[in-house]
Amino acid sequence: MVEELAVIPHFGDENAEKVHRSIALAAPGLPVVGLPSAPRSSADPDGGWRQAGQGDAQVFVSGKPAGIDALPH
Amino acid sequence: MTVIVRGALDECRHRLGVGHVERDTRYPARRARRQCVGGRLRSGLVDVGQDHRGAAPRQCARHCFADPRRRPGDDGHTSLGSGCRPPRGEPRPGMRIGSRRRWRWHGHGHGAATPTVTPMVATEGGAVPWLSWVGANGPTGAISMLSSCRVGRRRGAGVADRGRVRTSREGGGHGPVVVREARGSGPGPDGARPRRRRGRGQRRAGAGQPFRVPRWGIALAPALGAQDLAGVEALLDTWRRGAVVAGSSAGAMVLTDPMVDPRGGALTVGWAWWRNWR
Repeated sequence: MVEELAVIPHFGDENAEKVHRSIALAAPGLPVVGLPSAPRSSADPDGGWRQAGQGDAQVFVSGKPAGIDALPH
Repeated sequence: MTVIVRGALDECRHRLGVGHVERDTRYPARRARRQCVGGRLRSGLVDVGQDHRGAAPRQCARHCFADPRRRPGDDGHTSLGSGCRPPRGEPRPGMRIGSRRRWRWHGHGHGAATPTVTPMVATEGGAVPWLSWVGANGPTGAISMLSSCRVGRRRGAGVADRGRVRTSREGGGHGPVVVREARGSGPGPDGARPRRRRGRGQRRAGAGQPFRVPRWGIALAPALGAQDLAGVEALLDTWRRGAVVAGSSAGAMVLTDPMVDPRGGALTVGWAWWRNWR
């Protein structure tokens, strides 16, 4: 139950244009996380995020790639 | 307690990673699949399914643009609720507000707008209710799902297909709502009497009670009944009590707010939005 965050599952396998649309339509400052099938990202109790598994979760903020630190705490 | 919100059911995974919820128990194979789903839910899972029943191949092929000319207003994809054909007598997806005889035949949950994100919550204690058809697709999908469900139930109570759109102020500041008057409650807003229909609806409990039908989802959520939100609320209550909620695939998608609309990639309302309402 995370607010101010959008997740695109199966990132990389989805239709590229649809993914692009999701990222482009996101409000400025809204992180959009693209999760490939393998990795997972989880929120720590202290509010931090970490990812595990193979592959990397892609984070986009305002249409530009960002790091996992951009996720809301 | 750990609640896992998954994105697929049984073997019906499709390219969006959202499973198909089998709700029709008339056929043995589907009944078996549904029992399988129930068994999985009893293990403490929340599944998110998407109903593509009745979608024409054109709608299933989401990578194809509905309008090659990309005219204004086209989001690139045909909505599942339009242009669908009912294969072999199965219910046609989409809002069922008009008078269609198949509505009662298929019962609760059928004929609802698609795509449908259907939360099924495995609550503590092992009880696994099949929750009301609450979706999370937001204004165009899930919450309009709610409206169709409510209409569906009330249609059993004999609801006339007429109403009026109230302004945002009339709606208590929650945006426009469509007010539908139950059958037998007198002339409609245009002065015409409700069209009479034969059937058992008029004899059912609830007839004559006006109710609101949310039309644009998010702005109308306060008008929804608690029974419609049972699924999300049960999950939220479990989460507030300290349960770990993990989402995968479409399950991860719906746990946020906003969420990505699986139909075309637009952003819409996710389940996390409901946490502020209770």
